[in-house]
Amino acid sequence: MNRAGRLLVGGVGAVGAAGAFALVALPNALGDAAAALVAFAGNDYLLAAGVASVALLIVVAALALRGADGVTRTTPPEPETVQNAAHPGVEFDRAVEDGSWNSVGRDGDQETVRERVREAAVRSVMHREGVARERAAARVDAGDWTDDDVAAAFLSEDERTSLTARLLGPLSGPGFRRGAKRAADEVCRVEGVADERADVENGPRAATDGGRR
Amino acid sequence: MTTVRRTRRWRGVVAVALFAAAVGLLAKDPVVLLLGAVGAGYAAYPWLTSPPTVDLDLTRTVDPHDAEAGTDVDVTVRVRNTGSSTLTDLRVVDGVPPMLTVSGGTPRHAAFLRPGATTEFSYAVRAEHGRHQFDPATAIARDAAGAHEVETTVQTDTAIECAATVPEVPLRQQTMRAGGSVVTDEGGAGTEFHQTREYRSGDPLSRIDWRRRAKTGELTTIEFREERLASVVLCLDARPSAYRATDEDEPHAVACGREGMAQVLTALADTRNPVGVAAVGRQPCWLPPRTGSDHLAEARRRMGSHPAFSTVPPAPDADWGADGQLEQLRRRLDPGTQVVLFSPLADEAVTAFALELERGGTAVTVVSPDPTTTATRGGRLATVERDDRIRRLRSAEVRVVDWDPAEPLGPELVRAREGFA
Repeated sequence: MNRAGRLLVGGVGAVGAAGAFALVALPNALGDAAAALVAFAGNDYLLAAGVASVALLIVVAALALRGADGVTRTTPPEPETVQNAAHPGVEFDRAVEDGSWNSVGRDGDQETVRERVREAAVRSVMHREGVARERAAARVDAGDWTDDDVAAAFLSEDERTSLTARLLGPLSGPGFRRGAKRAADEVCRVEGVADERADVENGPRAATDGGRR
Repeated sequence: MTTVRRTRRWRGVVAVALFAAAVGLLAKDPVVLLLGAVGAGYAAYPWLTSPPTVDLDLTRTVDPHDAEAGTDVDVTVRVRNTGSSTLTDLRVVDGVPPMLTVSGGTPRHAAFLRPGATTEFSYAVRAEHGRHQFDPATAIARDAAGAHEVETTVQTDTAIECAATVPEVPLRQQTMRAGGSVVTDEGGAGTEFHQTREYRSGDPLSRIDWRRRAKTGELTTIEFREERLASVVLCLDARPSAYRATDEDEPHAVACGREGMAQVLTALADTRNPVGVAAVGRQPCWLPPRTGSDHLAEARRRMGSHPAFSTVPPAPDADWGADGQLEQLRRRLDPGTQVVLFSPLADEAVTAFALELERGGTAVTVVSPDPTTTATRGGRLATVERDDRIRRLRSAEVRVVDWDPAEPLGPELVRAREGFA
């Protein structure tokens, strides 16, 4: 309950209490108001029962509020272990690795993921081939930066702006995820960054064969 | 920072009192009705107490002070009530350095403290490489009724040093006119040989090459590389994108960067170079370069307690607008000041900041704790991106120390100076 609500309830209570005291201390001051009240209710038990019912309603409301909000206390820090933080690239993993149908359902999310992988691919071409950004971007658009057709199509600007892609884009979550994964894998492969789990599975030879770790 | 709050612990007592009164009325039972008065007493109780005044003095001792990595360090904390209030319910959680884990005992303690009384508790942490400064301890005091709670922090400057010596900070050759410790490419007074040149009138006799004079009769003067002071700003990248870790058992890059910064600050304090500290993150922090023990203490105090240096990762939706702080920091840097930036290089904004500084004539060294992982596809993509940022920075003459936080920082800095890192 907010401050205004508390003040209102408190005010009503204070007025009621003052009236009750007045009735007890000065029975003649208010004339036969008490008798009139009892007469209105029917008898004195019904009057008391009415007051008790209102009190019970307040009890239920107060207990419900406490159950909802609980006690306001600070949560002490937990210094026993190092503080957890996400790994770099967690945004990509959440968007692409999540199996739910709408994890990259919005156009904006898809575009962010695609732009990120495309930028990495363009910079990779610039680095490996020593060409300017425009030339590297043209190679990525043309799709001849990789032998992987799925990865090439995913990052191609021509492919993205085709009518079919624009019509089916919002509905093609699984296809989008597949393209993003293949393109990211291809960028990592050409840059020599290997999956450490694959290294473990394939033995030490794989780890030194172009792998970073 | 001190926060006082009402706990609402007694909320509902009025309702219980009303319930008793209501039942008493309905049952026409005066004894049950009287129970309502007891409830009313409990409802009034929290109003009779007030929030305690919390004034604490904390001392912390560590043993051994310079432990080896992997060994346990015993930490003993003494808390003294220097205020005039009796603290009926005091709870203290010590600020364990963010890169260390507790290996024995607990850094939590509860006590009843009269004015002037002292309480003590101990625990152990597992040492790791680096200089690990303790965070402020958190103290929570509640009044006798538990209706009010006072939360505050108590700071004392304590650190665990484990192979933390940084033999030499590889400062760039951007210097002030005054003589110092940074070897420049200009000839003059110094200790490292630079070149010989034809004698000029006024050259000191001690710098004449007397051997050549004896052999050839030629009068030449030896020049040494001039050594000058450098004005340095140590800057921590603590924006949301920098709170990244290899996995959940490893400390994140902001914690690593802060510990590395503490080591470099200590190493530079042994020279006469003016040093400042800055951070971008929850709030901007700026302490301009100066020298002296008071300045060093202030720098350490800020690194220990300023919100910008907090190692608590932000909420997922945190948006501090910290990129504007980078521009603010750039405007604050005086010409001739060089920057040592501690950043995992997790995004383009900080990379662009370093490149812009370097292009503008401010020498930049990036000490980059590596938080990348190849265990996930996104992690591998982030690794490729970070490698590219390092490559671009190095091609723009920015010195980059690619630091694996599992290794001591000192040797990495030496390798960077020698051009291998």
